Amino acid sequence: MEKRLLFPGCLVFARFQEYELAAKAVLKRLGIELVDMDGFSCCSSSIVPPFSSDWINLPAYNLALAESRRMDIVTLCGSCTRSLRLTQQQLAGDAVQLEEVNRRLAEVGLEYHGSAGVSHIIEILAGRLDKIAAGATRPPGYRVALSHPCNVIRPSAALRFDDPWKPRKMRDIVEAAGATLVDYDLEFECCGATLMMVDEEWATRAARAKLHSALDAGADLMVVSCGNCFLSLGRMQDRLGPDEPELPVMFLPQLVGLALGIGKEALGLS
Amino acid sequence: MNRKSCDQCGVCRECCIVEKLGGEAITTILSGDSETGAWNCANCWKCIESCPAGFDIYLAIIEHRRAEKAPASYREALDNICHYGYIFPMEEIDRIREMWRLPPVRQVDPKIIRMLTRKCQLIPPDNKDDDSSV
Repeated sequence: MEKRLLFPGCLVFARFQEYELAAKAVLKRLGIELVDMDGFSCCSSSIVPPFSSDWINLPAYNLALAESRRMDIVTLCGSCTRSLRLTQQQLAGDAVQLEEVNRRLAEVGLEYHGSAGVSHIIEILAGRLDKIAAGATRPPGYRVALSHPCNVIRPSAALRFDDPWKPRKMRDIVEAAGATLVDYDLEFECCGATLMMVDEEWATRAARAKLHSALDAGADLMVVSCGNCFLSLGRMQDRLGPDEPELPVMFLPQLVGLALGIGKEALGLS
Repeated sequence: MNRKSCDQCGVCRECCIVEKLGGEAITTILSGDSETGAWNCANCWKCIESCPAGFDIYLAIIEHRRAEKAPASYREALDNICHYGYIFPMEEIDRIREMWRLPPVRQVDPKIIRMLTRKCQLIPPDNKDDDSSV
């Protein structure tokens, strides 16, 4: 079985074990074993770059760690995907910075060559639509609204992943799994999760608007593929007030896993 | 500052979620309507995607954030990353993973993080950096 390293990122590692469980179960069914990445660290995210040019050493460290284990990386969050991909691009085009990064990595016994690939789980699943459709013996009867992870698709010049304004890949996956997609006005709007770090009211309003838009369109499930999206659209529902209608939220591999007939416990849904 | 190629056309303002929520962001700064707001960002990068001039808005964001005081949440997250290697402390993580029947994952050695983020240790709270390259 093909092996890849799972880079969970800080948020999923700390808060969303069900996402990790479901990702491992679904990819195993599709022929990929996700191996835990011992020693991984924060990717720098959007946190470190404004403070120091040293930010690039963290994603470079993780990429070099994957290289040392001769495996490509699978990511679950948007921010990690963007940080690792931008680092690959930056180091591929800047020999001076590459040399500087490698001087630092040498101090921890690693060297970056750029040979480890990075794929978000959407990309992995979108590349196996036929297998998903063939194995989807139990199409979930949900009317699904999607939230697309901004950091996996933009900036498109660097990420080269999907349509940056109307991404399709999550839609294709959900359709292959046999669920019904619901179009809604704010489908392609950001969930606003990161705004929590600067203004809780803005973050709450962004989440409320998106949830109401999906509910108004008739959705009975929100599906996400990023820890931040779940934080905003799932966990933040508790803060919206007692009279707010609820919308269940699920991670993408949990929905796909249900379609493939994988048990709820193995998908972190029980 | 690399504002030369920003035509102040305002296209980025139309897709910025912070502006839609009534706040000021990098897009407001670039248009000349605000001096601050670079930290007010959802990291959706629609501004970068929409720019018809191909202006490097990301570089502008970094430059402006370095000139403004960082929110406490960012400083705390930076502190955690530089100390533990992660945005959050992970003391309880093995126990939580066991509850989910997930095996433990070896955490990064904080000494490695200290070596990789030497300059970051000097930065908060005033955002100064001895190397301004992004």
